[in-house]
Amino acid sequence: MLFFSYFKDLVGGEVTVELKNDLAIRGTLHSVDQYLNIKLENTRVVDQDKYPHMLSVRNCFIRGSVVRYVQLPPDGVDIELLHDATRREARGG
Amino acid sequence: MGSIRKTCVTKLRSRPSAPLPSIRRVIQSSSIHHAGSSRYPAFSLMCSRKTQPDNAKRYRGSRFRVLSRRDQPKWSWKMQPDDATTVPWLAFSVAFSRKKLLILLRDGRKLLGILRSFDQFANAVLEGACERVIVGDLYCDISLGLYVIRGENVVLIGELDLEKEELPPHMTRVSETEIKMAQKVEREATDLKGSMLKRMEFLDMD
Repeated sequence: MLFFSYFKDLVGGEVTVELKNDLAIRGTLHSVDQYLNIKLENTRVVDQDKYPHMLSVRNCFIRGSVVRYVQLPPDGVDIELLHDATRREARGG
Repeated sequence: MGSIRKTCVTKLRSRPSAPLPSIRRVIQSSSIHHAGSSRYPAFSLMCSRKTQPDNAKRYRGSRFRVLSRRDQPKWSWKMQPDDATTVPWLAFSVAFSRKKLLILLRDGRKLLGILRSFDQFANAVLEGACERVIVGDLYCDISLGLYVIRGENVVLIGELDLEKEELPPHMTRVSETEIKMAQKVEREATDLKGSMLKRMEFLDMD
């Protein structure tokens, strides 16, 4: 649940989602759920020429299980806070 | 004859006339209903009255509700105030139901159609679905009809912007037979490339 709440804090930020089929999509994070399914808005595909069918897609839903990486904005992670939360979760509290 | 009619009448009268108050509240508070309607016999069989008490017990306390009366939806999702924006599948199905969508599948297929239903596992029902086959600069839409897609096969569901071009202008539409041929040629080319690379491996080209 830690990363779920982490992504919930990130809502509204600009992220790049790289999928397991090498498709990379950049967009504004609109919402996220417990499976880390992601909904992006104002999307554009990083390598547009290779994926012509994605040209007119503006908003999309991405299934959590096909995500390889989520590239965050540079100031998107408070490392101290994440360390803290991770340790707390590892202790089981 | 008269006695039979009498018992029927008493049975009808003894049937509880209203659902439980809590269930009624759920119906009023939620804005999304999925009716296991009588138009889909298989569905109504699955949600037959016999199985409902168990289901009701199983889902007690969760946000899924199984409803008991025939004239009402068979289940509903108890909405929290912000669900329609914070739960991705709900946000998506609220905003985009009955719009034209593109579904990318795990095997690389691209399906286009109108979204009829959708859930958190990305199971989807697509009406008037067609498969878009793209080979190089050629493309073709092969129509498929009504499709139910199991969520595990879905990579991405995207809304198509109707104001923008669906495909770049240099791409041309061809017939189904032509695209099949182009697909075959492309597959043979990649196979050949693979086998040639394998044969020439000893040369150590890099």
